[in-house]
Amino acid sequence: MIEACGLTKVYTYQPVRAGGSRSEMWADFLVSRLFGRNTGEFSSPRLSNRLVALDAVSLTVAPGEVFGLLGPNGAGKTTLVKILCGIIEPTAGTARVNGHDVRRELDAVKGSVAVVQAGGWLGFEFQLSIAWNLEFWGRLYGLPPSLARRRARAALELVGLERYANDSAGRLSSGMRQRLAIAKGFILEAPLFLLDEPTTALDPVGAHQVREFIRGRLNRDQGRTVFLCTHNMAEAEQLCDRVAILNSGRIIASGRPTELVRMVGHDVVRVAAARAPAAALEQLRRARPGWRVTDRELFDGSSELRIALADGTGADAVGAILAGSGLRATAVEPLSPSLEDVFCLLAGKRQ
Amino acid sequence: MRLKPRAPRKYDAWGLLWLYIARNFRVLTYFRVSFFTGLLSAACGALTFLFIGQALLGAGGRANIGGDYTSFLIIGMIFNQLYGTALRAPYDAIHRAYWSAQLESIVLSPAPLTLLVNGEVLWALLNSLVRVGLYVVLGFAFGMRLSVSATGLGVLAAAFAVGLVGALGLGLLSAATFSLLNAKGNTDPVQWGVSTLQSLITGIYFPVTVLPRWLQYVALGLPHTYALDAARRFMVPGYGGVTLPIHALCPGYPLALDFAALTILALLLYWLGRRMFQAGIARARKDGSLSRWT
Repeated sequence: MIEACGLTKVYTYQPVRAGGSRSEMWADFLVSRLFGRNTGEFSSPRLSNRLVALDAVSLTVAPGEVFGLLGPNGAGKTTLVKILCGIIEPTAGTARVNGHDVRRELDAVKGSVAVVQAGGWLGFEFQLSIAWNLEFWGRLYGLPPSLARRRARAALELVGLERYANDSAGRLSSGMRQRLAIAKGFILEAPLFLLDEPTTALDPVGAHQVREFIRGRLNRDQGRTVFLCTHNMAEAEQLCDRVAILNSGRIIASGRPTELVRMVGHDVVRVAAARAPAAALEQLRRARPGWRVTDRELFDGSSELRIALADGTGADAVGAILAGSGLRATAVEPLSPSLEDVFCLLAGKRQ
Repeated sequence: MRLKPRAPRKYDAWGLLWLYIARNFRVLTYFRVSFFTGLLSAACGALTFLFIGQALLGAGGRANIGGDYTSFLIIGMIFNQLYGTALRAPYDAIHRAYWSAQLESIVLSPAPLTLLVNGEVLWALLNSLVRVGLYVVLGFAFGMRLSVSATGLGVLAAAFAVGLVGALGLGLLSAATFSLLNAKGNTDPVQWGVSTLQSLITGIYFPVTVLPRWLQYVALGLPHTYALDAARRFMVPGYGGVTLPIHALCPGYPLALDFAALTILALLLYWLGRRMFQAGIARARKDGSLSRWT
């Protein structure tokens, strides 16, 4: 369904210089050219900055699978989705979507995917009704008028906006706009759905409905393949058959969630502490570089730490070590590692 | 259950053109004030030139144009309106789609991007017909006299249609600069240059013969010049003779020369515009600039 091999995307863009105007930039460029004072910063004033968004990404998604692409902000997830649906062209590498080459068989690729993009607005005419907007996109994507109307209604029901169907799109809140963007992607019935952070900005009930729809109706009932980009680990664990972790444009791990969790290979503990001063935490992190410590302060002023014991320390020794660092643990509870621990461990190491 | 990839989705080109028109009409009716103020501006512009004509030439003045100035002016303004629309509409379509975050979604559809442009051009031309009607009404109010015959109307329609192809080519060229020259700020060099020259040198408000000789030669580079000249030869009573430098090549056949030059120029511009437009889209796909955000 998706076969990507060595996909690389390099963006070149016009640099924005703090405190310098464009004319100053051109002047610097000319000076550097005329007098040979080329610092390398201005090899071209228009396109001197490069950003490697994807770096030799290879992956395979089987038909009927829900595949999750996890990664922090700026990892390159959206770029990968845009390459897979043909919106942008890769700098290097190849990809086949539903058997079609994304470079050479663009029309066939576009005809076999449905895309839900992140972002709250995404091309709706705020002067027109919500239903009319969706019908418009349905028609543009090749649906006959009556079918476009039916699908628009069904998509609005899915995202819980049916009672706003005849309202102007401009009246929607940002969360509702996100729901509308999702509905736009679900108008089509394609073998492959590319979902780019579909539950971002949704309330918990809305997010649950969308997840149910993805796993239940799209995948289980209709057999559609789903490529899901998210940074919500719980969502990925709940929905995905396999996941890959993308960081700084590279895939740093992939496999079934359970396999990845096994990769952690050590204990994770939750620690309740009366108070965890920042200085003490910092001292702990320095003293135990093999531990990955995340902390949060609770409403009553106490703290909860989550520690991945990557240096092989046993869970039973944690209390004593914490006490030595000036942290008084009131409870230490061993946990099963989650995808979030894998993500923090791998992405954290990279950073 | 496993789904097999299907054949590429089909699209109904006429249905989509109609869809664009319907959408834009709905948007237009949302902004009624802007529509009516635009119409008022157009009327004021036309009236300004009609009054200047009356002041300088008197009613039915014939100085320097060989015919009735009011008819001369109204035909010029109608062509200017419609060709200006064809020039602006492709850039406006891309500009609007980009800034309203629709461009990527449109590119994802099975319909080619040129259909979006054609839909927007068609809508803009239909919308311009209201102004054209206004010019005709004002023209008759100021004593416009037209020579109406089947041949004349045929020549008018043919000259207009071929000139429109050329204007559309320039429009596509203008839209191409959106990506090729990163001209995303609601203005571009092609549109600016052509619309400036169009008013100044192609004979919309005054005959090309009053221009300095070198500017007359510059005027030959735009299809508007030939289309207007051909249309006026049949529609404006008394208009004719050698009105463009090109007519000196074969003095007995000014109309044939107009059409020959117009056709060559229009086809060339359309071909160039289309190629550059496609190059612009390919460039945007390559550098990821179909959307404001990558």
